[in-house]
Amino acid sequence: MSLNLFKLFFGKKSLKGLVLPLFGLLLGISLIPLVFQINHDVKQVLKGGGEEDYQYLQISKEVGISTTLGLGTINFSESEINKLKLKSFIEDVAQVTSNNFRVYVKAPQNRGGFDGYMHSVPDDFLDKRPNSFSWEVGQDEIPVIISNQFLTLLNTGILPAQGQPPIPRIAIKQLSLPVYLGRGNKRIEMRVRVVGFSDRITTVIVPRTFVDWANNNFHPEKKSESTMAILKVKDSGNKDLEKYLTRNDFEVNKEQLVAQKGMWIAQVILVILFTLGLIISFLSINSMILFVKLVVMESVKKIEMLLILGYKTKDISLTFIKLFSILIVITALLGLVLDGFVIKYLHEVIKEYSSLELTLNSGALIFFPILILLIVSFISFSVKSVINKFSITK
Amino acid sequence: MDIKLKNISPHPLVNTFSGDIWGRELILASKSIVHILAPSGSGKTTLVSFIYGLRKDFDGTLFFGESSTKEFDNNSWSIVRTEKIAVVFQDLNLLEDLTVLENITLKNQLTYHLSFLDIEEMANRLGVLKKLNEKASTLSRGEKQRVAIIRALCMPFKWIVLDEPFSHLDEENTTKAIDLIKEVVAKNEAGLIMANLHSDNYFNYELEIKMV
Repeated sequence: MSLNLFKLFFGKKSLKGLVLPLFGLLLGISLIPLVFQINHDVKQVLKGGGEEDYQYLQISKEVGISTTLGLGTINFSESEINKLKLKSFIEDVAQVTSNNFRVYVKAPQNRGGFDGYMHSVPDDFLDKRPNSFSWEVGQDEIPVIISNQFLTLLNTGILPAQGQPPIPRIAIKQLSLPVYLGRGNKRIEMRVRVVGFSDRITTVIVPRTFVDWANNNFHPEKKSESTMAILKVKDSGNKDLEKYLTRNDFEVNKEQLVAQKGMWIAQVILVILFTLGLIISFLSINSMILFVKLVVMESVKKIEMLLILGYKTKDISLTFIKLFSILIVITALLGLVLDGFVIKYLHEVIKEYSSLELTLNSGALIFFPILILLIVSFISFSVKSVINKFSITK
Repeated sequence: MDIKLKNISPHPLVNTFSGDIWGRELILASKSIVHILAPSGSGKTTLVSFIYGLRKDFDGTLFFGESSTKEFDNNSWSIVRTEKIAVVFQDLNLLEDLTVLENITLKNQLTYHLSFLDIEEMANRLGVLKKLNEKASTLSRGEKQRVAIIRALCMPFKWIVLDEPFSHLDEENTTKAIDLIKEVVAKNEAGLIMANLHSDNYFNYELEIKMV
């Protein structure tokens, strides 16, 4: 037979006074890891799903009258690429190699065909590199990565205009289309198959080995050309980078620069939300400590009696600490479940629009139990300091 | 464990006291049965408070065995109250909104010295068995005194200090309480200090001390 001291202090006392502080805590501690996760998500979206801390800008030369008149070129020269590499705000540069032969893709079910193009980039500039994305001489089928933007364009513009139904992502990967390379007696037939989709590069990518082989095969006398380059940068919103690109008449996808500015704004909002989460949590914890003080004040006689009987202040503190630890852990778990639902919903929405498989921020998952431990420790310390003041010795 | 009082004098009474305790050296030998005779206001409850660590406003030194209580911290006093010295207070100190059984359990669960059956048997012997599940606030003064006695016996004490424990008990209940206390004291091989207003033959006293 034992009597829980909890019953002694909270027997008929309503715990209603704790509902609002606990709700506040739920809100506060849910907000904190959510902010970490959303920040992580925003970065992932901007990097096209990559985990690294870099952004990639696709640049090309502006087409002017001089280029049309043949006085200039839209190809990047070696020296231009080298100059770009030397800039402090650029981490690395990749030349996009173009095909110098005709590419004619035949549509399925004898519905004609269309002229196409092929580019290649170094593998480490790809956001996703499927295992099947490789080509060796003698291989009949060429693996291709197309941009998600192109897929959207195909399904929302090209196919509906031809009265064709949209093609789902999985179905596209099943198609192996005939493709004619080159002209005249050098023309050969191969096949192409889409093996992946990219958010980073808005063109048709084939393995570098294939382009090198094909360019050499069709026009061995002609040097491979590069009309596009990809810049690997740490901060795509860098003012110097923006000025340099404008000054040199390099065109860049403005959306990529605007997105970086959008990220800054998002980060400011997230910092505000994080601070708000901390403030709400702190106020809630403070309310809980006030609740403890109120219960202690109402229970002065009982506490004195327990000490007279031989109880230690530690035994009494533990009663309060156990209650609050349980309530805080339950609240934290609820917060985690709530965060789980919100994050799952957000990731589904993002996946629907960009096909990105976002990952969880492991930092937030580690930070969360530490945060709970800190809150429980702080409340334990406060409860002990309130109870330890009691002494029956006069 | 001997209790030694060395020149103890409560602060309000410094240099104005008389009797066998204040300002004198006195040893209460382990396992002895001691009677303290003290008229009202002579400091009987004050002495109990010093021995139980509820007050330390005195000059002189109080020893438990070889240890001076001046060196005791809150944890040491907690051990004294849990394992060494049991007290039946004059003002009983029951928690009114708890039941009789809860009041007793609150003390017993510190050491789990008695089983529930032991507690029931004691309650039966002192005539409060049917009151076990009633709130302490509904009990008469005499019933509360009997509950306070049972609660004091729920620990493995070396001394039991009784401060006017039978003041509201009739002769029959007093005899029953005395028999129970004697049995437990003998079983624990403990000493007993009975503080009372007048002479009595409740126990076989080995030492009688007058406070005035």
